[in-house]
This record gives sequence, structure tokens and C-alpha cells, in this order.
Amino acid sequence: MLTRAEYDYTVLDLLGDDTRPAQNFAREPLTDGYDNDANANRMSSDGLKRYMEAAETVAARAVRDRRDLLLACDPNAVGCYQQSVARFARRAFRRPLTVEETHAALRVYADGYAAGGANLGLEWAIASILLSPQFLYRDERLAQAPPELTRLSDYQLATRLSYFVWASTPDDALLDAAEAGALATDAGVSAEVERMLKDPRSDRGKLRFLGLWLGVEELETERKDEATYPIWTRSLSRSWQQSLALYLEHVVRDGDNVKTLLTSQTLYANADLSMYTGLAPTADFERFTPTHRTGLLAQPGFLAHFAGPNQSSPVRRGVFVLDKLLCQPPGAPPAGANLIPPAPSTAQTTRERFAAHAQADCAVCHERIDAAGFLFENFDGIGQWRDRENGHAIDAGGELVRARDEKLRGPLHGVEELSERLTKSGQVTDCISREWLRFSLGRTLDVGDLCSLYGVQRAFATSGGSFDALVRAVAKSDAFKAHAAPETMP
Amino acid sequence: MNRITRRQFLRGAGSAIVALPTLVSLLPRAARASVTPPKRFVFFYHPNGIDNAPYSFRPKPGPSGTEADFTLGWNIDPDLAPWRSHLLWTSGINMRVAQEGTVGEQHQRGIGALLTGQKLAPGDFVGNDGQRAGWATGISLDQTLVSVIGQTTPIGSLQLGINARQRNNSGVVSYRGSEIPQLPENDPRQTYRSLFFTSGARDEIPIHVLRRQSVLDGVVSQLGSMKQRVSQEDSKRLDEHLTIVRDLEKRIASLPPPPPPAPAGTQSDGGSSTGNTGGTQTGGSGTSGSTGSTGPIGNPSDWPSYEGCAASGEPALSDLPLSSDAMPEMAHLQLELAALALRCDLTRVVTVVFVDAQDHIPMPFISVSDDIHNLSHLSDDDPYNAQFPRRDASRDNFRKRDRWQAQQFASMLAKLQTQEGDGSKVLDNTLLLWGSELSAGNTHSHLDIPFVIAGHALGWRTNRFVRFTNKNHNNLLLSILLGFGGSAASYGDPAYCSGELTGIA
Repeated sequence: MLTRAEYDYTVLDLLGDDTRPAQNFAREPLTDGYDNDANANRMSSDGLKRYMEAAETVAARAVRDRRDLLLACDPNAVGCYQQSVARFARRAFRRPLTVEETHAALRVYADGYAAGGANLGLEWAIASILLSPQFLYRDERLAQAPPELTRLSDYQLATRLSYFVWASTPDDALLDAAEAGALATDAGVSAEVERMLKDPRSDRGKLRFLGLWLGVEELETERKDEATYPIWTRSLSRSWQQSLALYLEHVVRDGDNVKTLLTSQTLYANADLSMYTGLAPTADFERFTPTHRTGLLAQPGFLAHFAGPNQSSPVRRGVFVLDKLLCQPPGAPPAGANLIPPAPSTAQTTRERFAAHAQADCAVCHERIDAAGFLFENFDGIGQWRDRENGHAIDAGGELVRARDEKLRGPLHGVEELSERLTKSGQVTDCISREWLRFSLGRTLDVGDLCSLYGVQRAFATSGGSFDALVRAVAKSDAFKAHAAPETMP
Repeated sequence: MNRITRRQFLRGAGSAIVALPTLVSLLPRAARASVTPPKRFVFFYHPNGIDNAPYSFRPKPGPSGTEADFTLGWNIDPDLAPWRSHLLWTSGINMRVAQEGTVGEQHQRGIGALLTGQKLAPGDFVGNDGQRAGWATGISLDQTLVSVIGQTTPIGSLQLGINARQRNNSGVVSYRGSEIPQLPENDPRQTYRSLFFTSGARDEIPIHVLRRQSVLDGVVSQLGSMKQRVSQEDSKRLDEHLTIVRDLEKRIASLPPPPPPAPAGTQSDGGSSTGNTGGTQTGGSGTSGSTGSTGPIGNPSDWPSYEGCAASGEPALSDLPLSSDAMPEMAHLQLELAALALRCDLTRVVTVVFVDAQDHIPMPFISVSDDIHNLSHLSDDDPYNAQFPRRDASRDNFRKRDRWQAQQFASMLAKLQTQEGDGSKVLDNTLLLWGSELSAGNTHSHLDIPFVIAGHALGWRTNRFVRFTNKNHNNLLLSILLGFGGSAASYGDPAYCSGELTGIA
């Protein structure tokens, strides 16, 4: 099923409708943080009504405001409207229609025509097409009963490519390439991927992954304890979210690689965020290059999200590094563990308050978690820089204990050193490859995907962490070009 | 024409303005005036069990030992005492089907089992302790009841959430079938839309009905052609989709019409996304400003007005994100809309999920800045007591949460005091079930779930505290289903259902 983001981009690209109608749709379930898991997303009766409302309003707006885009011919010519309905249906269904499908669309057109003329017929037909499962679901049906791993049809591959690279529907050129059989060869696929990467829409696909990977959407509802942080307002949470989103856009636009992601000295700040720049507030977001703001891990939005309501959180920050950057997550806490962080203190440092983790049961995981998390201690619970805590100098020393990649081991101090070291490690590019491939397939990976995963990891590492290289490698992988096993069919 | 006036509710801290569509002067819907009022079912969920200190939430049995002899839990007594005669308290009802589940952690298993009486499928939703699980493996009671009592209403059922933000199995009680979840809607504006389906296109009524029928007919045909050559798994999914389309098709004639366009000259800048430029050039359909905007909704004076149960404008939320700050406002709006829907017979089945089962939120509006889930781990004699100098304060905070939930339940009961056509109250014709996925947070036990029942739809005697011994909650679910006139020999996983729950009536 199309996700909300995909739906909005799709009606934008199909009909020029930029009202983002999917804002009214239910939020998708998240699987491993990703919203496009076919097994988790299901239609509901409430959902269908929302889709119906959207289809009705989008169709009415398109015919009213952009009818000429829809009409492929002289409106007065016989059959022009019917022809236009068929043309639209091919683009919306992302493949040629069967005879029955064409008839169904034209029957709705005829109903509308009878009720109020050709324009109304066009409107009804578009609404009906936008509500059809062929549009709402990504059609990856098999032509026959599945033997085992089978290649997607050319149209199905075109659709998977466009939703992966553009987060949207294929354009006519991509559909034409599928029709001409050009996607049957790896060279043909590569040619299309290169064309798509040059298109500005390719930023959308990358940003969709990065946003879900970091949980940017959830930042909007982040809340802090006002007693601890009187400066916190809901508006600040929204500004964190926007600032982080702008940072990710900058990464994709200006470097498009892991090194930029982790080490760009950039902060986007508006008036809410002037406390992080130490400079005069600006009404709108502008780019700053303040000290201490090196890379993703020093972004206020990131630091505030991975923190408690009234304190920093070495645990949440440490777990992010181990889980999302190293793919070496700690185990779950034992049943009955005390999960309540110690109360903020006016005497001790955070490090002292978490000393209880040295107990035997806890230490096995927390020596890894906390040692990574303490590297962030120069940033408080809302991501402000601090040199001292409760009168004590901050000790931001730590390390990546037992990291698989030996290059990651050894003492570290602070986020800047951490980020710098992370950029040098194949374990990090391997981890991002795994997450990105998982996102591209809309399902969890299984053993059958290992060869594809290794290929992506190798290409990504060799390229020095270039996102374009990663997209190319994913598109080239067998897993991407094949149907999922039957039980994980989208 | 007797137009409804609007009230605005000023609530919460400072600037938050919440305006509800006004819900007074309820004219009976077409067929309602003369007939017996319909039966309704409401389910209330709150996460992480209750404070287990003696008699804080649970009633205390009196010396005589009879069902009528008890005192209410001291923590919630102030809020629920006025409703005592409408309440039926229980103990000893277990969710053994959740307790004995092997897939997923306890919160996931508990919320999945609550209304389904089933275990979870394997899946990839990560629970609180890292275990993974999928959706529940059976239809839930509310959805079974839709087929018994909800076939003639415009809307089959409502699934409402109040800050139930987890986007996985931890936020879902309602299932249309095995592994077909119905996620709760957290946004009252969307609830409003579900109720009144105020589609953007503002046609004359016959046209909009015609259009929807034609559009849906087209969809059914498309489904038919898509179903050829499909794998079994996909075929099942398309059948699901078809069922939903058919259901909407069936109800569409009884859905209220979309609002007519506001009279010319009364429009001002509504602040919505797209202006309605009077667009009738496409044969009678313009666009609304509503779809596509989730921002604050316009100036209330621009909203259309309606008579009776047909609705006024959308609820307006002024700068309220759907977060824990705004829970009181959200609960107020959601419950008000639920009560409206029940009163006006727009639907007969409602579930309300107060926060998902992970429940990692503070509740600043009752001065609790700690994470509620973490507090729940302290809800009785905590084995880690030594580590918690703040233990007492924390327990107090958890009790504040229980009390707030009791207030929400009481407020729902109050909203169902409206008179019906035959002189009875809506509450007389409604059964409310209130429960949680655990009995207590620190034990994570599924035994002795604090189920509370209210209302008189089934004629069950209230003002009682019925103490069961080791009964499975599947039996309770079956009793409710049979009480509403359904027929079944068992509910949920048959291994956990031995028949009706004797003594509950």
C-alpha cells in the first residue's frame, strides 16, 4: 500500500496536486522504524473513507484547475475524454490496463457524463482510479504460481524503482522503458537509475530513508520537563524537527555521503534555536557553522530526541550508536530490571548517577552502552553545550567497547572524535547498507538476501559512503529485482 | 430553521482553544423516534494495569461477603462513587491466553488478547524488552458485535485513540479478523470526518450519492479484474479490501450528506488550504478547504450549521499537537464525539485506547513529569525498592494516573445520560467494558485483570463486586457476545474458553 508520503508525492507528480491530502490518512505502523512494511499496512474501513475523500477532492481540483494537463487531445474531438481517462489510468496503475480495467474506468466516466457532462465524467473516473487497489497497492503480483525467487515484471520493477529512488510514481519515460523491454537487462536498469538520480526527485527517496531511520517525524511531539528546561516550548520541538530535516536536506544536497552526514559543521537555526548559535536570532531558518556542531550526532534535534525529559541520556544515545550506526545492538534489559533513570541531581554528574550500571547484571551491556553514551555528555537534555555539570567538569571520555571493527576501538573523547572515527569504519557503512536495503524492500531481510546485502555493502564502502552508489547497488541487487517470498508479498 | 449555536471550550494551559461542534437539540434520526433504542458497546483501555496497593483501585469487600457489600477503591472513589449504581466490579478474571503466549512481550500479548482472546502472530514489531511479535490472530469482540448490532448504522464502529501513538501492535485492541488490525484514530478532527464524512466535493445530495456509488462500483470492478492471477496471500488481502468497499457501499446511502456550501458572502479567510472559489464549473462539484489541511481549522463562523444529529463544523484545534500535553483536550473531544455518535445512532460500537501499551509518556497536566511506564514498575511492593529514594512520590504519581483514567470513564458515563426516544437513557442501552493489558506494571501479570463493567444494555445487575476464581477472560467476551444476541459456542482461542461466565449477569 502507498504510504502517506508516497501518496502525496504520487498525486503531486501525476496531477500537480500539492495539497498533501495524505495528511488526513492514518499513520502507518512502523516496523523496525520503517513505514512501508507491506505486512503491517492494512486497509481499514475508516482508511477507505479517507482515501475516498482524498480521491474526490484531488479529482475535482485536477479537473477544475488543471484540466488541460489531463486532456491528451482536442477536447471537442470525439473520444478525447475517454482517451484521456485511459492515459491517466495507465500512469496511475503504473502499467497498461487490461480490457476489463479500461471498461471499468470508462463506465464510471459514462456515469459522470450522464450526471453532468464530460468534465464530470473525467472527474468521477479519476476519483475511481485513485481509489482502485491497482493505484493504492503496489502491484507486485506474480504472473504464475511462484516457483521460488522470481524476477519482477518490467512494469513492477519500474514501480519499485520509482518508489525507492523518487518516493513516487514512475514517469512516462520510465513506463515507456518498461514497455520497450529496456528494464529486462541490467544495463537498461542502470541507465534508468542514472537518469533518475540526476532528477531532483531522487532527494526525496534518500530523505525518506534518513528521516525514518532517525525518527524525525516523532520529534514534533517530543516534550521536555518545563521545570528543568524553562526555555522548552512546543514550538522549540517543531524547530528541532525542522532544523534536523534541513540538515538532512543539506547532507543529501551538498555531499550526499556518510562523511557529510556525520561531520558537516552545519546547523540550521531560526529564532527558537538561537541559543545554539550564540548569535543574533534570525526569523527564518538560516545556515550557521557554530563550534561544537559537527555532524548529525551534534544536531540539537537529535540530541534532544535521544535524551530524557529532564536530563541527558547516555543510555538512549549509546543505544542509538550501537544499534543504528554499528548494527551491534545491546541485548534487552533482563526482566524486572529497573528502567527508571536516576533522578537528576544537583550534586552529581550524569556519569556518577549511572554508576549503578557497574553491577554485574547490568554491566555486560551497559559497559558498551554507557561508554558510547558518555561521549555525548557535553550536551544536555535539550542539546545545549555544557562544559560543567553541577560544578564538576564534564568527562566526555568513552569508547566503542568490543566494536566488531577494530578501527573503531580505543579511547575517545566527545562527539567530534566519535563522529570522525565512525566515518573511517566499514562497520558503519555496512550497517547503513543493511538498514537502507531493508527499507528499499519494505520487509525484513532474511538469509536469502545475504548475497544482495554483501553486494550493497561492498559497493557502498568502496565508494567511500556515497549515497548515490548505495542507491545504484540496491537497484542492481537480486533481492530488489525479485519478488518477495510469498508470505512477505507487498 | 432552528440552527445550533456553537460553544467554545477554553481549556488547558493558556492559549489552547478547543471548539467542538455543538451537539445539542438532538432530533431523533429518521427511524428512531418510535422504536426501541439500539444496544451499544463501548470498550475503554488504559495501559500498564493499576496501582496494586490494597484497595486503591480495586474495591474492598465488606464484612457480609455479599456482592453488594463493598467499598470502592479509595483512590478512585471520589470520581466513581456517583456512578456506583451503574457499575459492576470484578476480580479473578485472568487473561491466560496472553499469559501463556510465547510470541511477543507481556504488553504486546496483553493488549492483543484483550478483545480477541487470541495470541499474537510472529512478526517484527519490537516490544518494550526487544522481543518481536506481529498482530493478534483473531477478530476482536467489538468487530464481532458490529455484525450483530452494527449492520444498519452509517458507520460500523469507531476506533479512537488518545495519544495512542505507538505505530504497531502495542496500540491496537480492535481487529477485523486475524492479523487485520484497526489502528486507533488519535485526531478528533479525523474522528469528526469519520462521523460525518464531510467530503470536500460539495454537490447536491443526489449527485454525491450517485458519484460515490459509481466510483465505488468502478472500484469493485477493478478489484474483480485485479483478483485474476493472484497468489493466495494477495487474494486474501484483496478480499479484505473488497469487504471494506462493499461495506462502505452498503452504508453510503445512509451516510449523512456532505455539508452544503456556505451561503455566498459569508465566507471570510478560513485559514484552510484551498479556497472554495464557488467552483461549480465542473458540473456541480467544487473543492473544499478541509481535506488536505490538518492545521487549525478556520474561523468557526465559517462553518456550516446543521440541525439535530447532522452536525455542525469540525472540531477546531488551536495549535495542539497530538502529544501527552494535550491529552485532556483530546480525551474531551474524542469522548464527546463518541457519545454523539452513540446517541445519534451513527454507530453502536466504539473502542477507546488511552495511550498505547508501551506508555512511555509523562502526564504534565496532572503534574506527573516521569515516564508513566516506568512508574508502573513501582506499582506495588517493588523488589528494587532500595534503589528508589523517590518511591513514595512515584507511587503517588502512578495513582494520579489511575485517578485520571477513572475521571475519563466517569465523564463518558456522564455523556451517556442523554434521553432516548422511549424515555430511557443512552447508558441504559449501552454496555461499557474497561480493562488494561496487565493487572500490575511491575509483575507484568495477565492474571486478575481489573475489568470494570458499566451500563445496562444486557440487563446485568450492577452495583456489585463479583469475585471470580480463576476464570478466563474469553468467557467474559463470550458472555458479552451472547448478551448482545450473538451466537457462538466459544470466543477467541477455544482452548481458553469454557463457556459463559456464570455469575456475571
